[in-house]
Amino acid sequence: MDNIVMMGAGLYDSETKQKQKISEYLSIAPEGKDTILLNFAQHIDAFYLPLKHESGDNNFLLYFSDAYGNYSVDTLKIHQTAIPHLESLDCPSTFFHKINSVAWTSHPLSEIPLTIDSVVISQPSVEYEDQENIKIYLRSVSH
Amino acid sequence: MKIKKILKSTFVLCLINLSVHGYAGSPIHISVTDSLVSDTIEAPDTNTPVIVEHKDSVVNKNEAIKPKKNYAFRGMSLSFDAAGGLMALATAFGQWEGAFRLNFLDTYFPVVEAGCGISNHTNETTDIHFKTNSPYFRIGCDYNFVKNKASGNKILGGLRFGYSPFKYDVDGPPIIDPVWGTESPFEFKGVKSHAEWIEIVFGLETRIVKFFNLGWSFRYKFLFHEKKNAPGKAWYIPGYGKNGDNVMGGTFNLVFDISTYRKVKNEKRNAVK
Repeated sequence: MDNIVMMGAGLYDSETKQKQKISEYLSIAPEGKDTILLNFAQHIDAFYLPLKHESGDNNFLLYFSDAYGNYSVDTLKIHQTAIPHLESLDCPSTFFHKINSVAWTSHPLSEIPLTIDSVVISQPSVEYEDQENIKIYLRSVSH
Repeated sequence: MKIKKILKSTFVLCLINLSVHGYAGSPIHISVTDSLVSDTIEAPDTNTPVIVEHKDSVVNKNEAIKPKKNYAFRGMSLSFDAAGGLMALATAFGQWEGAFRLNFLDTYFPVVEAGCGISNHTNETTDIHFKTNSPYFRIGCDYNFVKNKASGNKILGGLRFGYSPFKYDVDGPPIIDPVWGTESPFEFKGVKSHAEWIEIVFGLETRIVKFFNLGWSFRYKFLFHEKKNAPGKAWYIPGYGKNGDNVMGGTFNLVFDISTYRKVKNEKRNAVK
């Protein structure tokens, strides 16, 4: 029985600071793992990512791709503290998280015209509630 | 002399008639100074008793009986919660609880409750084990809504403030991270915590034998603080019950009324003397 707590991330336009639905495809994978967490998602303005059960850095690779198969990769680094949590004996134990810091990379807009501009922590506590923990501001070629 | 006697008797009978109209059904108290007159009085209504007392003797009676002092403090009692004990023996959690209660005017009952909450339970589905054995305390007051206080029966409503400083162990299977593939142990020993809560109490109590009462209480509890710990919420809080923002509970009390016991004992001693 799995009981996974997920970190919520919202996508925003770096210029207008409004929620942005991306027209490009976005795939996300944990660095060093042969797993896909988000697969060619389009027209989304938010997503959820699982964090490690151990405190430390969580590196996620964000693949921005177009309809022609071209892609560019940005890295999103989340430094967090994992906190074991038991809600009830009826539910399996799990981990809550506290986001300490975030870091990111941005690819040149000449490759794929959408990249990470900046990331801010909006709610450091990652718990059961499906809430937005980080805001990812995206920069596109038009800006 | 005879005429005087007849006049006196007539006057008394008139008074009786007036009294009957004013206090139908209640006994009529008449005081006369002349003992000869009292012998000739008859009751005007068979349902209304007539009590004729000689003035001198009434005065003497009042002198003989000293008025009892009406103390506010009426006694104290000890009680034991049988329901909590049965729960501790037969279910996933329970408590051994006793209470000490004071009695003021048979109406106000300040009470202190203390006990030991016990749980040693493993969930069959998740295989998570929780164990605690810790004290708890409650303080509060009950109000007796019964009008006839002398009956020994009570309809009680009251409030409690509860506090438990408790320690617990919790352990379960290791947590496997399905994404990152790690395995983290889940085992915590001697986790220190404390909790505070409020209880609204409704209860009934009745006298079974001289100084032994039986009663039950229904309680609605509101948890307003629990210390947060690494493994999260404690599954069970001693004295409060299964953890949640509000829970229902109850007690089945065996009450030993110390004051009545002492009274009965003294009466027996005086009878022997």
